[in-house]
Amino acid sequence: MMLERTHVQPLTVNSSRDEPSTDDASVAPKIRASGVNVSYSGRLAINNVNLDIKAKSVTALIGPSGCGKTTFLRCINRMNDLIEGCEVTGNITLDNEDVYGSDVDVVVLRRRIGMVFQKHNPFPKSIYENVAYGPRIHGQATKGDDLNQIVERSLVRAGLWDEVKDRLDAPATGLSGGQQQRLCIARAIAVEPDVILMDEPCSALDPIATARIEELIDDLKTKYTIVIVTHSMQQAARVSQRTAFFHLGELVEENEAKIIFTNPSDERTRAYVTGSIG
Amino acid sequence: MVERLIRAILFSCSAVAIFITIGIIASLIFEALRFFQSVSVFEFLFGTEWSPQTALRADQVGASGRFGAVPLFVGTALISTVALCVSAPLGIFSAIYLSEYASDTLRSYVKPLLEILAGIPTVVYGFFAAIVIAPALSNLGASIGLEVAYESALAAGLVMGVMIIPLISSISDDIITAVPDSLREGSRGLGATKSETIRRVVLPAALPGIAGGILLAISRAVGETMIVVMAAGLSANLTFNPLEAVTTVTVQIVVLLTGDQEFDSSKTLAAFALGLALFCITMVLNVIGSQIVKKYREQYD
Amino acid sequence: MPGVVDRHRGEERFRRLGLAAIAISMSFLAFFLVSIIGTGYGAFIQTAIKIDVDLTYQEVGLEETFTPEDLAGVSYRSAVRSAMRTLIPEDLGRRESRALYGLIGAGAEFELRDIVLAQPELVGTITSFWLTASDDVDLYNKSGLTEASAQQTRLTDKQIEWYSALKTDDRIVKRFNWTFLTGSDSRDPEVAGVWGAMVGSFFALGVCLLLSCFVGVLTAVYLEEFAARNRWTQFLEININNLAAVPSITFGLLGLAIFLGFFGLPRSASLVGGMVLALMTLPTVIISSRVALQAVAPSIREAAFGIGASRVQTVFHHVVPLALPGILTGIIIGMARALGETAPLLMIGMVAFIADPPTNLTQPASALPVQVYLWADSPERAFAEKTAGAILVLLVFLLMMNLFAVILRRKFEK
Ligand SMILES: Nc1ncnc2c1ncn2[C@@H]1O[C@H](COP(=O)(O)OP(=O)(O)OP(=O)(O)O)[C@@H](O)[C@H]1O
Ligand SMILES: [Mg+2]
Repeated sequence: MMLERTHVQPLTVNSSRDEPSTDDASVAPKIRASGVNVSYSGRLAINNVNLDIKAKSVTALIGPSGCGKTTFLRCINRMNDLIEGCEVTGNITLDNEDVYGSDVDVVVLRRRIGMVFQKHNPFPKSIYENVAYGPRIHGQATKGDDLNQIVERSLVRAGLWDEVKDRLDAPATGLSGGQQQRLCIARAIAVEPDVILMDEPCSALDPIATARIEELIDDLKTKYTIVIVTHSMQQAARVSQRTAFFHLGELVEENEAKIIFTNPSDERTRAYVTGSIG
Repeated sequence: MVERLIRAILFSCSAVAIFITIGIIASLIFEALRFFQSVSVFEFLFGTEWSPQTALRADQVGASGRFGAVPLFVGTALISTVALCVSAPLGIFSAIYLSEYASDTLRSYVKPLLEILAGIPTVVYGFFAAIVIAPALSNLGASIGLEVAYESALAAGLVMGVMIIPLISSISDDIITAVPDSLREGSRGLGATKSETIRRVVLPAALPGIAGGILLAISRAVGETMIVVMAAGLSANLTFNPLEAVTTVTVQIVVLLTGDQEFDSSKTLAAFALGLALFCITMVLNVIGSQIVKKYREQYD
Repeated sequence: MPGVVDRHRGEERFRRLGLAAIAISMSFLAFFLVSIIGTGYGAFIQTAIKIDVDLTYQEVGLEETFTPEDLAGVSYRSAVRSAMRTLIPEDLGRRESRALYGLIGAGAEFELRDIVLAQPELVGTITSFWLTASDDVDLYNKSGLTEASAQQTRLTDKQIEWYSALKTDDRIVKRFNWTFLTGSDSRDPEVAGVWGAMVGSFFALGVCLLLSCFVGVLTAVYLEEFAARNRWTQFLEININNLAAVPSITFGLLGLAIFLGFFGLPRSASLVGGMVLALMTLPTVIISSRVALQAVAPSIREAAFGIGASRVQTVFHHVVPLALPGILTGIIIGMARALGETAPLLMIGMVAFIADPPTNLTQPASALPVQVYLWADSPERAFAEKTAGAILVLLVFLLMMNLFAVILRRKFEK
């Protein structure tokens, strides 16, 4: 990976996937973060982040290791609540509702904002049970045809159905790494979220499995708002419409992916995308 | 030269452990074989009548006594079951609380206290069962119109259960802690609450390992001697009712060997046959249990 | 669809379930300790009665000059009895007299003899002595004198009357029961003590320590430092781990069949007891010693080899000393377990009634936990308190050993 990064290739943004820029100020952002600070046991990890995330598009977060991408991502569905000593200040809204509001139930919030992790982590259950897990706990469907339908639909959407439809009762841990990660995506979309957060979903996968997931992400954006953290600038360029560059806990710059990779306004961004820092 | 000598000494010391095992197996098998010359293996394993006392009067008819060990096996199983009914829920729930909820401070107090519970000599538990618990249960039973034998399986099993709590809780704690956090995060990320995550993800993942721990606990209960010697019954009684008095394999070994009788009588030899059965049962439980526990302690490393 | 509110309520319930499990386990422990201490502390208190013993020459049948033998030959029993009679002004029949003598303990005459032998100048005087009361008086006196205790006591109405008279006369006190710590087993609860059992346990533990230490530590050293990783060592390891979980009574059967049956060693001896306990603790010692040896940094070994030390020198001069605290901790914990173990000792006959502490390893002996077992079986009510008292002594020893192990570990962890 390190070697790859020193070989800077001219980055091209796939124009066919590039949405027409709908930078309409009247369309409210799906998620809006303003003045977000996060500290771990008093140590500041991200500082004054302001970022709007548009609905039904893919936003990529890039930046060197330790710059706070994961930290920011986990603020959005309040996974940071689980970390002792982690303190979040500032404001994050989902559809204009304060995510950290006192009347917000994280259970409901996380149903609306799903998450896919860096390391595929299917539960040690059957494939079926993995996908059915979310709908079951949220009571969206508990048994029978309803549940079967949800499972099938989610697996189809995650592009896994054809591969597993004959062995839904097989243990999920028997799948390949790429299949497991797609299963985790199916598991996340089974609860019908609005937003899917993905933290380096391909970092443990080989290039072919990565390509499958990238395709999938591209499909999913028609229905979901996706925020993806990635270390691979090629990947960010390929899948995202908008890209945000983090550096040392700060959001340096956010813009259309094409602009970030071809003509960034900040010197640090330019240095990063050309491979001279990071 | 000295070097060689010391190596030889070290080697022979390590062989002692083997000799102990051989000694146990040999002495048990040798004496048990002599026992089975006068009593058939079939009667011993499947006979339902245990009355070795008649063996004392060697001149009488039916002098060999009756050596059907089924009532002892059933008694042992009954008391172990009671013990498990107490210790499994308490041990597992304690482990869940300690590994998932408790603060470090609470852990640092509770764990040593549980160790104390494990370190109390079994003769103390036995005294307790016989002097405090058994009369209390008997009175309690009487007050609600139930007849509870003074030496009920319930009293012995209850106290034995308390003794086993630390064993189950420490193994379960290890196993639960070995379940990777990524599974917890995955579940929480889907909107599951903490207890839903524990019940539906963590526990199912830990269950086989915990089951291994329970096998080890059963082995402890089956081999436990002092509590049952002091609090369980002495005469064989084939029943599944925990309110009645039953006897166990270990109790009978002690009863058969602490009287005054010559070394070669059937009574003495019967104790070795029981010892052999006990050794085999506990050995199988231990081997299976510890394999499972080992696997699930390390499964996610 | 289960409401989110319900789900959160279930949350708290589940947490409480865990907390309750811990609370129940802890309260078992508390209940144990409280009730053992509550019952057992009475064993350390005894009731004494003050009697005025007439030791005038005429009364004890001695001349002005007497030899120690003469003094030892005096009938202290009748001295005690006549002193008892003088306490009660009434004339008593034979049966009533016996009831009166029943107030004083069975060992009172020996207490008196020991005092007089130590202080011969008392002869010729009338002196007051505090002598141990009988167990019935003791129990009644300690019971708080309620209605219930009057029902339970084995004292007759007449005896209770005498007791009350003595009590109002300030002739009855409670005092620390040294006999419990210095005496040995006895049929009479008021003179029974744990000393004999303690000596037996001490002998057995000594043997156990010697054997399991020597064999256990050397085995661990062999396995960790010398043995090649092959089938044999693997087999050895599995074998040791399994031995650690074998029921303790099995080791007693081995001792009975091999040490007593085959080698003909004496029954009930603390030597055999120690050997059986050593077999039982050996796996514990081996396992903990191996852990301690593993914890020694490999660089120490490399450094020692580097200056040309042989394997044996390296191990015994450098590695073992560093691992020693850990090894010792393991040994102490193993010994603590051995001290509390009863079942294997029953198998080799250490259940006899032993009235004198053993003086060597081959004499019949008892052990502390065995004493607990024997007393717990005794029908006399006064022994319940002695049993709990013996348990307290046992627990104190265990506590000290474990504390020592903890301190040792703390000290060397830094
Ligand atoms: N649980 C935690 N406790 C304490 N500090 C943390 C924790 N998680 C992250 N940090 C700190 O916060 C900062 C940002 O970490 P974060 O994981 O968000 O970086 P990242 O951009 O995701 O890096 P990477 O690309 O390596 O995943 C780092 O300095 C890190 O050390
Ligand atoms: Mg990260």
